[in-house]
Parts: sequence; C-alpha cells; structure tokens
Amino acid sequence: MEPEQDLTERLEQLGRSPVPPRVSSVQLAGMAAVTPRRSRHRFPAVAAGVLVAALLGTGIAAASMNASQPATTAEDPDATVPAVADAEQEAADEENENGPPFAVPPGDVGEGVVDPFPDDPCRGPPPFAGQPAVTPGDDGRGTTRAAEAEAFSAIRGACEAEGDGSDGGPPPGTPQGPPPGTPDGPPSDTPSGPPSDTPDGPPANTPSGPPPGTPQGPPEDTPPAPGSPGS
Amino acid sequence: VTDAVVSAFDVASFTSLDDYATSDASVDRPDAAAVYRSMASAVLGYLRASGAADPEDLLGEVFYQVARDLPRFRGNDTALRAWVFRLARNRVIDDSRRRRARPVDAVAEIPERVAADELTSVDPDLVEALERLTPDQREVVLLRFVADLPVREVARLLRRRPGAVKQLQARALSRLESLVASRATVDQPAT
Repeated sequence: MEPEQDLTERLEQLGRSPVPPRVSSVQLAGMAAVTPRRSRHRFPAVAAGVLVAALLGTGIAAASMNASQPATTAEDPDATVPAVADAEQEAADEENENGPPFAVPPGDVGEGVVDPFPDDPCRGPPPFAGQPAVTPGDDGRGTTRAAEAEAFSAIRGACEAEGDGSDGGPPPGTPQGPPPGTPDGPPSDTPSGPPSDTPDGPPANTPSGPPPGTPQGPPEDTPPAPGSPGS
Repeated sequence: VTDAVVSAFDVASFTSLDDYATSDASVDRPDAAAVYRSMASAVLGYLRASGAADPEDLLGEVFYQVARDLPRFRGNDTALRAWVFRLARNRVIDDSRRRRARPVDAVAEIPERVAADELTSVDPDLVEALERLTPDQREVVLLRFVADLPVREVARLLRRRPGAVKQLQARALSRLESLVASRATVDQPAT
C-alpha cells in the first residue's frame, strides 16, 4: 500500500471514532464526578459558628458551638480554630468594625456633659457649671473661680451686644438635602458590563456577519437549492 | 444543578428531534437524529484531533446548535456537512480561547473513566504527528480527510483559494508521512 494512501486511510479512520450512545449520559457522568469535589468547599459548620459568635460579640456562643460540633471538627482539621486565636481575632474584628478607641474630646468634664464649644467664649456653658458654688472660707481656688466667672460674664455680655453668634444660616424650615424623589443613581450591584461568560466576539478567522455557524437564511456556503448539482 | 443539567439535555436529546422530520412533511428539513448518526463520529474525531480539552462536551454543544438551527437550514448534503463542521471548528476556537483565558485547574482536569475508551479509538502516533503540523496544514488535513469535505468547501471555510488549499494539503501529507515514518523507526526495536 502506498504510504500516502495508508496515511489518508488512517486519517479517515479518525473520523470514524465511536460515539457515546447519548451525549447526555457522558455529560451526567462528568457532573457526578465533579460533585464530590465541590462538596470539599462547603462552608464548615464550626467556621459558621465562630463567625456568628464574632458577630454577636459573645465568647459563650463560640464555646457552645464548638462543643456541639465535635464530629465535624474532627473531619475537617482546617476548620478548627484555637480558642485564643478566636478571642484575639474577635477583639481585632470588633476594633475594625467600630473604628479606633473612643477619644475624650476637650471640654469633657467626665460627667456625661461635653462642651461642644470649648474654645469659644461666646458659646457653651459658663466655667465651673454644675460645680458647687464658691463659699467663704474656700481654700483659695474659690477666689480664682469667682474672678473667672466674673470675667466670663463680661465676655458673654459683649457677645450678646455684638450679635447672637449665628453664622446667618438658612432660615428655620428650609428643607435640607435633595428634593424628594430625586434619583440617587444606580444601585451598587448594577452590572456594568457583559457577564463573565459572554463570548468575546466571533472566533478568530470567522467572517463577520451572522453569528458563527448559525445559518441566517441560506448560508454563504449553501448551494442554490436542494436537487441542484452538488459539488 | 444536576436537575438543570438533565433538563438541558432533555432539550438536546437527539432521539426526540425526529419531530423535525415528521412535523411538516412539505418542508425540506433534514432529520436531526439522522444528522447526528451520520456525522457525530466524524465531528468527534475532528474535535479530538484538533486538541479539544473535552471533545464529548464540545460534541454536545455542536449538536445542540445543530438541533436548534436545523429547521432554518436550507441546502444539500454537502452544504449541511460543511455547516456542521463550521460549527465544530468554531467550538474548537472558542474552547482554545477559554483555556487561554482561564488557567487550567490540574485537579479538575483529572481524566474520567470515559477517557479510557477514548484512548483506544484514537491513533496516538498520528494525532501526535498532526500536532506538529502548522495550524493551517492541520486544519486542511482534518477538514479534508476527517470531516470529508471537498476542497471547495474547505477553501470557503478557511477563506482561502482552492489552489492554496491543495498546496497546503500536499505539504501537510508529505510532512505527516515523514513524521509518522520517523516515529515508526523510533518505536521499532533494534535488530
């Protein structure tokens, strides 16, 4: 047999591959093989418990969840989280959620009263507000307090003579914010492009025009009509 | 997920597509099941020899599309064959693009049992030799001999002149001969 003929016969043999009786059975066999692999990525119950505990901010919940899931913990060592690490992580998470520790503003007298205008003599409460009145026989600080209170009264009096200190803001009743019904833009989850699995155009070497391979009316390579002389 | 797959393949069930031939006898429509029976082997061989990662999967895609669009198809047998292989070729191109865009997960690509049957039906030496041809040569050889398309249809599919296709075919066969012969020499035990 000529080598070329032998070669072409072997090539033609490639086109006579046995075909699965039904494509669906092959596909489903593939899916069945994939399913157990996916189950490996299920969210572990213990990890879910730890997350709930962190959100609730209670160590007790975490302890009870861990105690109630011993079998699962043993099955999946990756899901086991040391208790100390839990507590540290919980504290760190709480700090991240709430921001940095609360800072005492200037003017806070420690009694739940915060002077919002600590440096403005025309606003805020007078000095030593809420403290006992100066009495005769004080240890000397009373004299200072009385002098400061007097000086404050003088300054405040001047402020009232000059104006009320307001900054000429809008008159009372002025609506604030956008008018009702003003659209506030698209929601954050609005898709801004085609889905990830959208084909990125026709394949290379595909002529432009109808979608690749889809017959739109008579395709360009379609002979004139059935029954016409074939090729 | 499995239910969704099952229902999707119920739609693509090729035996149920006999309806196309019987629903309207006055329209010249090919029978989708017959198309599958007559061409699935060649399409699968073409997909395998083209290096598709999952030829059976692509075979399903091709014939799903065939079943969907067949009622709109008009043409003779040669045109039908050329159309089906155009679909197959496009799926191979899409497949190679997908693989380039998404790195392969080695664990996910562990061969399944189906692959064992696949290996016995493919001529490994020839497939390896085909991989060493230029893409154009390989395409021409596969479309001419595996898909069994005439030179004119191959030329249309590849947007080339028939003379260029013939030239590519001659060079490809010559190169294949030498590749297969050298492979056979290597495989023979020294005497």
